[in-house]
Amino acid sequence: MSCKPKASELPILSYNYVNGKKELYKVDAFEFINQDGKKITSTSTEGKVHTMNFFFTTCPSICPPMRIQQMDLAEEFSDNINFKQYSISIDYKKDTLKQLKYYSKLHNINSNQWELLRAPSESDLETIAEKLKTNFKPNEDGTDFYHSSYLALIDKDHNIRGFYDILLDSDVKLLKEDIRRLLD
Amino acid sequence: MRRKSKFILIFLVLVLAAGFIYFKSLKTRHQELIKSKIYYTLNLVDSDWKKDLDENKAVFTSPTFVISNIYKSMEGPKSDQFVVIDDSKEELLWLTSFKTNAVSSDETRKMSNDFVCHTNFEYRDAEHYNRWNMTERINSQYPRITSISNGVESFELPEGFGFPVFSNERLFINAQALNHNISDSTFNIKHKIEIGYTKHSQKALIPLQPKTVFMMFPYNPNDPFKGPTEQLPNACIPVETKNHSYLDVEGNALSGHWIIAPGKHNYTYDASQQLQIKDSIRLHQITSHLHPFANRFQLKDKTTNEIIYDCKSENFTDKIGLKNTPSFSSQNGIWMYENHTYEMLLEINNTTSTDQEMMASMAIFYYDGDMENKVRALKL
Repeated sequence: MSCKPKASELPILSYNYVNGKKELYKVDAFEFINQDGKKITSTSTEGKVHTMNFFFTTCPSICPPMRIQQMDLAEEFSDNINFKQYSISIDYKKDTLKQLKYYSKLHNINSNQWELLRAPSESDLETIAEKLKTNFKPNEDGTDFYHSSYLALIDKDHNIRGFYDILLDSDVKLLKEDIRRLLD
Repeated sequence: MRRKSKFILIFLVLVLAAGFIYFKSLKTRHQELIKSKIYYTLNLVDSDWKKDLDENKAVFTSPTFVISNIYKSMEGPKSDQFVVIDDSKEELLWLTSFKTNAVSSDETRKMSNDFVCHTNFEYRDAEHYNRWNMTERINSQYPRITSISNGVESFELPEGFGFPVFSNERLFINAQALNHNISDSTFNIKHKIEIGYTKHSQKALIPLQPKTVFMMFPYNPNDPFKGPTEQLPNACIPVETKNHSYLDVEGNALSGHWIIAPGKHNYTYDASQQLQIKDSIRLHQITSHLHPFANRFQLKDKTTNEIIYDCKSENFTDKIGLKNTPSFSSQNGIWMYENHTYEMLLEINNTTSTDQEMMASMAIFYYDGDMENKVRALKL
């Protein structure tokens, strides 16, 4: 028996145990604005394999190497209209739409493949973090944020199918394989 | 036309010569990576991982490793693979045992475990902890479950204890071959890697949390291979500065692989910081990962002066290699405390006349109370 799982066998990971019982949920209740001022809702992600993760434009530590990997991912799937990356800014105060647009242009990000998103409010950020099973917090001195380097891979029906550390080569390779499995 | 062919021939000979010189200039580890790539790409040997599933064990068989050289630790052919135990369903399993055997490439004969450098078993921490809604644990430590290495063919967790995973959860296996002794022949092997488990539906076990603690010594990053100096009397000579090299919280360079000169040497290392004990833990299992020439490896509670684990490893006398490295296993467990100091002590005897390489780590398992609460709350 081969060790490679088929698309249908990638587990659905968007669930919680509530009172000991497994409850599935979908990542479909959100509303963001992208770097071009366009509203992004579950209608935009319906039928698309996509990733979601956190970042902020002035992040000096993990975001630059994450950006390199995500640009590579955008390039690799540039011909596929059914795949998209969404990065949500956690710096609600500084990352205005103008700043997101500037960042996207500065780094030559292919916005057809990778959109930068701004939440309508800080509490919406908390809600989506819970759905994506990740967390973020301001650093103690208030100058910066902690966030993880994980991306959540979400299928065409808004189910999370995997978590990948974009800074690990082995995880990036696996992510690409899993995107292809879900696109098939 | 003839002249053109002559130039092409000379060009090809030059390219081959340059390639050969470049290849010979590489370290053994990198040479093996290239050789394996060629063998697998040209389909000269089996390149796929294989899984066999039984009622209470999963056996993963590695691709073929071509043994054609002397390989010290981390130098031999290797292969990594993400695996799932059973992706046809989602069932809670308790991992209870780990085993690796070298076998012939046709899988009919057991070979010497002299050809097993290590098998590392890892969980993927985001997937693992998100399944349990324990997001705060993600990135808190390296997600290694345990390791099998030369001298440790297999081990079992204490009766009644296990590490919980779901049957369709992705795990990661890294297998690497070793050959300290045979230089006059080339042969093919595979690693058969067995993970034993108990189904939660059959019996609920007590969860253990894994952590790997390893000895590390400082070196001068500006002059790494100089060894101990007046300023750094405890310095080691790192095997290399790219891998197994770390920075401590103060930015000092440390190496987890170091050179040992011929003769007897003793090393001590304060493991308290790596253990990161919050309040207290109850230790149930330790499996050591040592290199040949290690004679004794201990974990000591320096505060009470008690030896927690005394691993007297046995080396072969007629060849290089570890014959046996005993594990520590206890159902009752041993309490370890945040305000105690814990020390690792290593005694080695390099019986050869040349420098050798050393590492010393302990894969420990301790009681996981938070996980037990999560498991108890399940209504599967």
